[in-house]
Amino acid sequence: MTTIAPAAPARRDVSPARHWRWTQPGLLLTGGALVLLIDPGPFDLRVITLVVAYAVAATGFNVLVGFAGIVSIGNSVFLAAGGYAWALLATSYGPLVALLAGVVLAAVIAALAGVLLLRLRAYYFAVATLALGTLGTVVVRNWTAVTNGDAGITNVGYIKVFGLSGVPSIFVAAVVLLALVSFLQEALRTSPVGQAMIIGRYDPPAAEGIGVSVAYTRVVAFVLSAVTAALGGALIAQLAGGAFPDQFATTSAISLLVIPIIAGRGWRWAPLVGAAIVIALPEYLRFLAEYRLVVYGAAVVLVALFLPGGVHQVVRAVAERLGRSRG
Amino acid sequence: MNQLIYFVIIGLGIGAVYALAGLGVVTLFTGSGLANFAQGDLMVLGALVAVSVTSAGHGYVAGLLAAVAVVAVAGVLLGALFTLPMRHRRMDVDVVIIGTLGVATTMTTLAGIWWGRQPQRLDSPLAGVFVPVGEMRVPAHYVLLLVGAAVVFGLVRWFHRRTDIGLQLRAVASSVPAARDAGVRIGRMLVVAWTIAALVGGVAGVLVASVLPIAPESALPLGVNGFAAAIIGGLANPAGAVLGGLVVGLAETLAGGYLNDTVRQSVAPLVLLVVLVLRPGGLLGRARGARTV
Amino acid sequence: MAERRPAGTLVGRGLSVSFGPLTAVDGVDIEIGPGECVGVIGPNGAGKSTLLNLLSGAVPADRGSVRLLRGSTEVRLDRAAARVRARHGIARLFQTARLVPDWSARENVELGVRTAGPAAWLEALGLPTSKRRAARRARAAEEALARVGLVERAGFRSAELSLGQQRLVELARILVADARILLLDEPFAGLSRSAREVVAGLVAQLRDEGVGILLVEHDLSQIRKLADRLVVMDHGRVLAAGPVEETLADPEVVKRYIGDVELEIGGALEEPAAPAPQPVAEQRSGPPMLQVRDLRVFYGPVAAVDGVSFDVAAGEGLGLVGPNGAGKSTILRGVAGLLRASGDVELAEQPLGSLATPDRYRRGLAFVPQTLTAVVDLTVEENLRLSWLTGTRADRFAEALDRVGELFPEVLDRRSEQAGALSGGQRQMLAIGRALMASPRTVLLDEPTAGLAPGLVPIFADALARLRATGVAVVVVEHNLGLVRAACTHVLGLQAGRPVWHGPTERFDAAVAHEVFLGAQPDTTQEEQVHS
Repeated sequence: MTTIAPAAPARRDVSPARHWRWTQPGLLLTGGALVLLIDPGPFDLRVITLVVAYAVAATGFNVLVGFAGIVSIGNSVFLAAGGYAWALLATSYGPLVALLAGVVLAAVIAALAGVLLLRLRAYYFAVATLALGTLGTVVVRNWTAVTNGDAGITNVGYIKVFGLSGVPSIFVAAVVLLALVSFLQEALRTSPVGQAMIIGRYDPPAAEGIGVSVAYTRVVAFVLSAVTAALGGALIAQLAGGAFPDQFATTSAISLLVIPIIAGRGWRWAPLVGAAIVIALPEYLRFLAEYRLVVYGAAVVLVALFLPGGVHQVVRAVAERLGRSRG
Repeated sequence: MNQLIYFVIIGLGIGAVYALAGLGVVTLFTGSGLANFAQGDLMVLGALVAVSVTSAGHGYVAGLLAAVAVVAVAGVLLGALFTLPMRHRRMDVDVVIIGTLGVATTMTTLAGIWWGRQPQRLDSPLAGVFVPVGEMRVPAHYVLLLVGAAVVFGLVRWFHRRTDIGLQLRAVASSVPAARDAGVRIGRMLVVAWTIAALVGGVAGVLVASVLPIAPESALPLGVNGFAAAIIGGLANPAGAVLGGLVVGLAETLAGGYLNDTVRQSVAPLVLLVVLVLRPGGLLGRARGARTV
Repeated sequence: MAERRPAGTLVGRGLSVSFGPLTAVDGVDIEIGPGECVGVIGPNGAGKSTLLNLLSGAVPADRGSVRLLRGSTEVRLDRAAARVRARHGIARLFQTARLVPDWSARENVELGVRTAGPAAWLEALGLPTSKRRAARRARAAEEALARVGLVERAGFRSAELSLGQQRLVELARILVADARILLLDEPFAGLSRSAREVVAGLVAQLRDEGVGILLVEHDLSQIRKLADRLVVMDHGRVLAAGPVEETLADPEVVKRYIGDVELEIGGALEEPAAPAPQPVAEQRSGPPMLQVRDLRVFYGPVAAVDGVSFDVAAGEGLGLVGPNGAGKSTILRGVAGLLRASGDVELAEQPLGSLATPDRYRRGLAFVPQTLTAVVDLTVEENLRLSWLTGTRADRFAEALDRVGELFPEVLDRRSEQAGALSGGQRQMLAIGRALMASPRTVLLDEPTAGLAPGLVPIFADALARLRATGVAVVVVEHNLGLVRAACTHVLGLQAGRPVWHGPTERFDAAVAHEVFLGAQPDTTQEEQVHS
């Protein structure tokens, strides 16, 4: 046997699988507290809160595209489910009911759509979800009895925590939610369910060969992406002071898709880093005036083509370089 | 009855545009395995170039030729850009999707900067010409759309069937490894495929601009409907794209004419979803096409 | 009738499946009992891997039944998906390792530990008890890795492991899954001698513990060592079955496989399938048409071809022979520029350097691959035109077409049909025809007679001889020694990517062949290194 494993170097574990699970939530909460202490001013805080809200929404999407390898361009539907559920229910039934209702609605839509559509091949599924998103927008615009059409629903209130009010309160709620979903994301990744997703994406026949139901794991991943999207949608509605069709149109679905990919699919920091790039960067590129979306679009193309691992790839390369020079 | 015929002609005309949009998507997909979410932007580019040239007083044909030239250049550039990284690795589906979506964002924004965001209509010699259908009069443009689509489809088909480059394109479409073993220059063929897809899109854009006012933001709905057409047909089948385009165009026009605008907007996504649920490989796709990934 | 067999026996009856016009497996009966190792051999394309897919459920059978006996009852698995069969303890080892490259060896093994339903979900939610469960899983994985001798590598990314180690990780995954039936697809292919020994030891151990094993393998020495029974397949059918040595000596097997060195070395050389070779260019006139110096091709860290050199003059034929995994096809692909290779390749005294494949073809090189020999969606004529287009274009298309028609009239008769509709033999004729269309100066052929009926072999030997007569240099990879002897002037024997014998065909006798195919293989030391 020694011929196979000759004089192995000191034992090591390259797999990042065993992070201490509370590291990331702890860092997030600490970071959130620091932001409140620094008190960055209303505009910046609003942008940062929007970033965190999108990070919450994109966490499930990170699971979908990073673990299960599924691309959806229709997750705006789930944002809308969360946002409108909040807008309709929060003031009369309280924040918990509103959040839960949005989550349940999104999960049910995702489960139904997933069962029907997830047997499609990659591009077919992507375009089918694009159609789903378009359909969602049409419904939101035209079902005026419930959604009030293009005018949207205003005066939707916001979640009040720790005696705070206004944007800081939404910010804290968003950070707490992000810490929670990040914890769950990491727990999922090291659990049999998450591992089944990853092997099912990497090699479906091999996954089936060890008893994994690939179809089931795909639907589960899609439902999870819907759940966090609904949470994010509720936060976005609170921040905007209302639910409007334009917030939840195809562009937001594309943002959700770009976030994990540009930051590095499946990386546990991808939702936050990606949201910072996708949401905050265009805000701070305003000096480029009309060209900022050109720069943004070109950046997305270049990352997609030449840096498929996203920011994570850079981070890993730098870490490796540092590790090598040290030892 | 006359109204029905009227709607059918209009619907087929609109459908012809979607068919061409879908044909562009299919041409690229079979040639390179890439799904291009910026196809609508290539159409818009063609349309707006033609509008600029025509409104500068150079006539419809000059506008069409200028559009073709500009779009061809764009196609070559995009082809080169997307072929470069494929030399070393196969591109993942998600990377392709956000890559082409990034192209779409860039092109839409640039078009907005250069041409403004107002919808513009292309003047054409057929403006004000009508074809009588019973008591109703159908704008001749809709007939032009149908004829134009048929000509483009015929040209693309001829190119694929009858030329040596077309033969190599079909070899790549059938199997990249087999084509590589046979000595086909894969990279070059990918650029050719992008260029043809861009040309089809550009011509389609010029044709549609005489009927519908085109703005940079039109790219998304045009592209989505083109994708619907292509997917309904089966994504790898040019004839399927035409069928899908006509189905979507007809359904949309009839729904808009007899029902209301809400239904009209929902028709394309609904038809797409229904077709995919019932036939996961598309109407003319392979029946066993429903494998994951 | 089922009661007579022991519980845990996997029984396949009348299994058949077709892919388009090709019947890959045609009415095969097979049984694997507990503690029994059944070897399966046969030429490429005989349907061995497909049979394995039918048993594992990866491919649904068109006809036939698969049952797992359980004492007096039985479980019918005909319609069961692969994952259901996996849960019944049927495990399958793929030909190439199927591990998640970014995961550590231990994580890959942990996948095999089944955690069902609610327990898995509690863990996914990160509840406190999950830590204990995860620890238990990790311990099981480490134990399994210890059994395959890889415990030291548990934390390594599986992409960093050698091929042999990856295969051992997969075996460890099967160990933790507690499989009762093991379907192995060439588990020894591409492994070094020491890795082969470890894998063989493990397979033997599992068999002795009562696991039923189906072993698809080319390496006869492993079959002799491990298998209790042998099944010989050909063209999707069972040609012979029974005790190993008896079956190998079966006159039917020997007769059908004359020339197939993988089966019977002796028979191949005593009864040549085709007339002895007449070298066309006896005198080594002029410079070599193809000159290869110190060719090396790496698959990741593994050297598949490790320092191979040879010359082929105009009108000469060189046969590359050796056991599976010797790197023969890789040499051809390296010369054709289809794989990145180091070393010098000169065509008609012009160095090819780092030219791309199409440029090499343009300079007069032609390559006939073993599989995907034609673009199936194109017609026969279109395929021929494609090769003419990418070749030297020394002749006009019509002239080149006539030349193919002379050699293979039956292919040209079907010129307007799709290449996919051709029979196996016609496809191979088309493949060689395509090489001719290019008007090449050197032709590389990868197993032109693989999977063909023996009766067709002389036709191809004749075609190659005629090709050489026109002054073309031919390099052919071939398992059928009869063809090599009939068509080649020289032979290069390879083992594990290295040349072990080189000389004129007349001197390639039974003793040499035995040495090349069954002799001790050199250890590939590179393979054992861990590359980071």
